[in-house]
Amino acid sequence: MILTDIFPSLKKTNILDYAKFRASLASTARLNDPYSNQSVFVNNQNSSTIPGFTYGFTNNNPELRREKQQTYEIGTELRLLKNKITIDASYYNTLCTDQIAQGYRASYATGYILNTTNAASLRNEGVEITLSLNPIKKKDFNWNVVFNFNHMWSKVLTLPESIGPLNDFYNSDTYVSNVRGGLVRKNPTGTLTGSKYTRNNSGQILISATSGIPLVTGGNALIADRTPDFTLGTTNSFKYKNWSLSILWDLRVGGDIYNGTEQVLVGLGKSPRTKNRSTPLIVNGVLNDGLQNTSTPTINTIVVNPNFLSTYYTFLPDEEFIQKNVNWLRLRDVTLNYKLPTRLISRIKSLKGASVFLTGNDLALITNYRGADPAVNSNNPGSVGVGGYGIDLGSAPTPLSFSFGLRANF
Amino acid sequence: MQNKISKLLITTGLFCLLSTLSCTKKIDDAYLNPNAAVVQPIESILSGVIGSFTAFFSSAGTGYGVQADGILLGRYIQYWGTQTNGENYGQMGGTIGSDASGGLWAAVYYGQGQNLNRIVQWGTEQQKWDYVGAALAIRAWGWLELTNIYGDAILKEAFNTNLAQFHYDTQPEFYDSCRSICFRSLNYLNRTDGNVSASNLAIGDAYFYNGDVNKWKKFVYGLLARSYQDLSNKTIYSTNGYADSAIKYATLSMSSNAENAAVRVAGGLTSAVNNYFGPFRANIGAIRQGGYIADLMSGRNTDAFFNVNDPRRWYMLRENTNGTFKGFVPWLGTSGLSAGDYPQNFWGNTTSTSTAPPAVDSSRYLYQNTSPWPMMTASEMQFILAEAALLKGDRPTALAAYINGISLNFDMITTTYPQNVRVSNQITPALKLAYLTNPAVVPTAAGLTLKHIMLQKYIALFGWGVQETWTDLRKYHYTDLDPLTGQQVYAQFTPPTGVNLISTNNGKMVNRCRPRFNSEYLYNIPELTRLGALNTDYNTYEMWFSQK
Repeated sequence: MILTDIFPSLKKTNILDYAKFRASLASTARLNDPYSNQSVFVNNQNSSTIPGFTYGFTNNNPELRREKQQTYEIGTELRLLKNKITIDASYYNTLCTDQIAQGYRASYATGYILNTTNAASLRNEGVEITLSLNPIKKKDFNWNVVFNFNHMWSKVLTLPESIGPLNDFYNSDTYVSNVRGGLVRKNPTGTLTGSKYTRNNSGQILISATSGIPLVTGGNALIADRTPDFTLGTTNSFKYKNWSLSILWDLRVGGDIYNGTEQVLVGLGKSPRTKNRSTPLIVNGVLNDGLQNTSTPTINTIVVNPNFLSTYYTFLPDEEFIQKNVNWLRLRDVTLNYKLPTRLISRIKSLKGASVFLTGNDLALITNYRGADPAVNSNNPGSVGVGGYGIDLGSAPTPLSFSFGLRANF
Repeated sequence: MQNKISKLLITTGLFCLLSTLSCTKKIDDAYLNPNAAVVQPIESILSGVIGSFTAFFSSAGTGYGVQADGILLGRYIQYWGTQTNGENYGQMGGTIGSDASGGLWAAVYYGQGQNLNRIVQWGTEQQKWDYVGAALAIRAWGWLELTNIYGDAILKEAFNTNLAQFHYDTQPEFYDSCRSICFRSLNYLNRTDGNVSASNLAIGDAYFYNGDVNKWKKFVYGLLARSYQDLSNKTIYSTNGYADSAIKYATLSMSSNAENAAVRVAGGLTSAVNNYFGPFRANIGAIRQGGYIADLMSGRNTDAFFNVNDPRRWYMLRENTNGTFKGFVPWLGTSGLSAGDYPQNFWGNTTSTSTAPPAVDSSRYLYQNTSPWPMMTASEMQFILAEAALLKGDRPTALAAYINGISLNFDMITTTYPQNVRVSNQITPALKLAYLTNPAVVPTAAGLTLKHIMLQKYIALFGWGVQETWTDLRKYHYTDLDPLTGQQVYAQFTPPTGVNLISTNNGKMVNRCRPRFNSEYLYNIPELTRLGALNTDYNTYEMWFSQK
């Protein structure tokens, strides 16, 4: 619906050049992975005269239905002040139902260890705003700024019944160290689950009354949310005669990261965090001596010397290595381009245009992340689900790179 | 005209035929997975299922079966103990948070589960009724064993792949199901039509009964006998005449050692084809025989077989450097035994404290790499017969069966497990006769008591019959007195008490295992809550079979 065409009078003020509202409704279906409705046999090595076979871990369900995605989106596009300002904004809301949960654990009573059914649903919402400014537009000089804002939130609505209220559903591709991209009901899809400090009813950390080090509750409790508060990309492009320069900044605010690298290094005594290991210390918490949930818990006074008690480092829970609210500003891309003059080009037959360029990637990074690089991903884009972003285990930082090139078209 | 009509009829007929033919195939049947097989010959499935009796071994999971669990449960019944003082199972504890003693659960639901369903389904389609009967026999075994170990469990909703939560059924329902499946199994095993073939059955059960359908039937009869005799403490045992049923089926069951049900292994260089208890797999290095069995077989139990040296001890147990047979108290670990009394491990490492096999294999009995593992023996059936007959008051039958049970056990040991026993210690016919004519072992019919029968059964099932012996002990509440004699049935059997009984049991003895952790304690919480299975003393809840 283009408002400026319906009501041409809107244009008369010379402020608004173009206004459009759009809304869409879509329903799509997704099918299961190929052959995931046929359980397969694996080798059985028990004594036999012929090669033996038994069913593998996974129930591939012959009664799977397709999963359904219902999306509605509303948006607007506005151009103001002779197209100097362009705003494109949209809100989307996707409801996935009958989601095919693949390979989740269930009672062995299915006859399998892992099950596959239509058993989950989630909602994903977000706002995307693109603001383009064109502050200077001259014959030889042009300056364009594009802001790209993205804010997303999601919620896991249902999970397979067999997954208890405190348990998580996870994609095994995201199972790194002991931490995994576990989904928990009523929480975002970007959560991480892992081990936590054992705490008393008022939230104080419990300390072993014999060793003086904190108690850890193993398993996979909710420990982090990787979803950022928002991301903002800023592209500045300048053009002067045959020269053009574009600069892309990436800003990401919020979102947690699991620093597994640090966990390993602390365990090995190779992290700066273990530098003061010879200094005796008392862990802040209360003793697990039977009084921990009374009104007068025993405050821990047991002195620990980590130099002689390495479990102080090796027993730390995964929770300890979650860095909350990581922000970063990254100079993602700088490209300088020079378009070769036409008189040079015309010398070569059939060459229509040519330019040389110099690009630098990831030239600068400003972040509060204590690890190497917050833009980590523990697996590749081929993995399903939300993926392995925000899980750092031995990830190398993004390399700083330069490229120089020649572009020609014939 | 007639020609036209018949043409029309034929065309219509053909069309109908084609349409029915084409509709029988689903799209999944037409496009089978090209990467991995979704159909296998049932002959190749049965061997793995048989492997799950003892120690399942597949590319997707190993160890499920009675053997791994037996290493733990054997401590409840004092068959053995570990070298660790205050060990959990020795103190009649159980496990929360691990899959220990959940091996049978995995074997029945996963190792056998859908594999058995397919053998029944495809075997029916292929009219291989012997396979169908054998598969049902294993299913019946599974339900009886499962409920005897875990109590309530999933029965009616089992193998429904569309459920994520499962309802638990009661123990009597398991017993009923076991019996009805036994009868269905017998129906199929009795069939000779279709594609029934001993040589073809032998492909699948080569390491069990090697194609002998009659032995399968005896196995099923044995299950029925167990299913009645396990209930001997219940009121319904006498009111329903279950003793007669136990006698009937024990009699129909195996009567010679050649008919014993035993899982055999091929032997070789991989764990899969070696006995779980053997030195190659090295799973039992830390356990030592219990003091109770060592005393019982060495004439030190003043209330049973006093002063009688059982010649079988040289086969079943391990000597010490003093040349005697002593054993561990399961909750005390090594304490209380002098160095000279410390028994060797079951593989006979001469360094008695060693948990490793000796350099030269000297293992005996069930502890060898290729020992057949009994699942049910003719001897056990005789003891069921003896117990049932005695409870009925038929003393002559009871005595005959009692003597027969001991004799069959002697014969099994000397013929199947003679390896690595020194000549001077081997059982000779004269030794066996002397044992069987010793009045301290075999009394007159009038002097025969439950104590004799249950303790000889305890010995005969040593090692392999952990689960069944535990059922017997729980049936007699470990320390019940024989109402006829006023003496303890399991003479001088002393369960742990006080600080030696794990504190979470709240002073009660263990009666059941918790359902498998990774199956139920994570994914079936509502049912476990309903049953009280989340309580720390759930392992002490009395079983249905042992209640009045």
